[in-house]
Amino acid sequence: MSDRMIKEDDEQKWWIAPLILSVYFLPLILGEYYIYLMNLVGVAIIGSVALDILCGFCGQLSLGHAAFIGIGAYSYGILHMTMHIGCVLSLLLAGLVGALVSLLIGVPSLRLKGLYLAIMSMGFVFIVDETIRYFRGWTNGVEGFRVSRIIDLGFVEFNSGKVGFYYFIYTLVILIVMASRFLLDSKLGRAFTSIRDSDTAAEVSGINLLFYKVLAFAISSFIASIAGGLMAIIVGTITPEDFNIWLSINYLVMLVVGGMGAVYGAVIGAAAIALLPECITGVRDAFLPPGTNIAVLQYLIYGLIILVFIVFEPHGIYGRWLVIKNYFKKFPFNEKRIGRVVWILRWR
Amino acid sequence: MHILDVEELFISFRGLVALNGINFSVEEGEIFGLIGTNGSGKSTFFNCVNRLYKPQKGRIIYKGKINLLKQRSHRIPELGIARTFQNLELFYYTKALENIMVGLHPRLKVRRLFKHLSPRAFNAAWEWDRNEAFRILDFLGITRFHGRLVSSLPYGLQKLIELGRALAARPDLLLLDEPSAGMNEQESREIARLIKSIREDYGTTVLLVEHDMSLVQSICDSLCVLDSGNIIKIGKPDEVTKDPEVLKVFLGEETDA
Repeated sequence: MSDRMIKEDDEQKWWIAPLILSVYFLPLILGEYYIYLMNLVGVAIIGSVALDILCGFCGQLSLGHAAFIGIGAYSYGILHMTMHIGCVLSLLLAGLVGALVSLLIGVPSLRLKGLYLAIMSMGFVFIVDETIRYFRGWTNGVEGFRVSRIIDLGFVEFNSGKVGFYYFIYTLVILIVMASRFLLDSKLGRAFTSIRDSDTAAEVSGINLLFYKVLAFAISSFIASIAGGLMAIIVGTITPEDFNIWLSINYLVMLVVGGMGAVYGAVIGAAAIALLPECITGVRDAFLPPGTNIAVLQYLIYGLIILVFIVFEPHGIYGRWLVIKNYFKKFPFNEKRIGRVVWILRWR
Repeated sequence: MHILDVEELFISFRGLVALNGINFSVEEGEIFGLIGTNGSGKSTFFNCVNRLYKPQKGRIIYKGKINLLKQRSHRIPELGIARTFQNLELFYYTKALENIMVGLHPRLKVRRLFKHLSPRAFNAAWEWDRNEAFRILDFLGITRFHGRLVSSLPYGLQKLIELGRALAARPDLLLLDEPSAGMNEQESREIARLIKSIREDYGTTVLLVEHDMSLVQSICDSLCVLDSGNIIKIGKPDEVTKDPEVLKVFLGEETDA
């Protein structure tokens, strides 16, 4: 798996400051519906960065991501709505609950690898799903759990449908993305990536496999559960169906499309996949007769994108961007000329 | 002073005895060679020291007081024991420099993470790691390959990078599993020179498994010959290589003596 991973280069990125600025100026030109959409994109970015820490950095293939998002959403709901704990504290506690539960699949991950770990974590999604349905008294079962759409930070309140919440969520996105970038370059990140590449080599280099694998699960689930809590605030009503296996697959697809192992790849992939249904609707409105049923078309395009990326662009959008950037940096002294594919590993 | 005392070490795999209660000691600062035919238990011994295998009986005493068999495997590098592998164990899809930086792991304390929460302090810490790794690359003479992916480098350089990763932990005891396997004569002479200078510059005790007899004879202070899990001879290289029993094992010769 590790031959499919990419990593950011160490250069200073000139485009980060303008990007952050444009993110903050975006609401000035967007309507309310698009702000709602962008909030969902923000949650998707937080969730996919969380999965990237586990799958991309640490190489632990997990299909259980939806379970942790679900745990986060329901924990936030129960803590805030039923127990009347403050919003920020509930959000943090929801993250901690997710991190604690992640120990359940983090500890066995020492013995399970690759596909087997993925299947075990998939089973975990079903368990969480059933648990939510079973404890109807707490979670309101399939009828759905209503969560307040207002988040109170103590000094200021945001309604999730309004612009204020957009700023709140993207500040959080930027903080989490920056923290993950630092994480990757620290001793911790090096331990994660070395576990991904070779267990034995990591162990003889003095890396405690159990500790770091469990830590990767805990960090990832902590962030994923916070994403779940935020999702509950945006959506307003959560049901067990919102956190089924498709959500897990969706997050994996985000990583594959964006580029696994690079934080910016996860960001790009999350944005691309979260906005995809909207783009398809846009295309329908422009080219097809009004009222055409696009449900089938949507799945078709979705499947096609997965196929195309896995076969032709395994390093994702960000990997391709690095290739292109490197091409122009070296121009005109490239190893291979225009019209020929630059071998992907050359960008380094 | 002995840096390593092996006492009655016994390990078997489902009845197949790999090490049959061996005893020997390694002096601090020496280059100790472990030789023997394939399957004689040399790499098994390394794996026991590293706790990748769990011996059924015996003790391995490190620096006169620590029983290595009571330690967890990731603690071994922290105690100052690093190793390389016969079949390379590298992080192939990362750069050479990053491979070496992973080797620094046992020297970096966890609390360092909390000390460097500000970006500036963090960058300073990262610079330190980088410089340390470059120092190792300089020592090995492969600085110019620092930015290359390990998978794109030739085998000889990959071996050096693995050696570099082991050195990055600043070990007191270095276990080298066939450092010159698959190398040509010139590279193998270079390795011999490196091993000697590792001992001189870092003061490291080197324990090495090797098939190349000329290399072993030129650099080792003591030799230990293993055959099917038993020690048949320990001593200076000259006397060991002239020993009739050793010759018999190695060359299948019937001796007249």
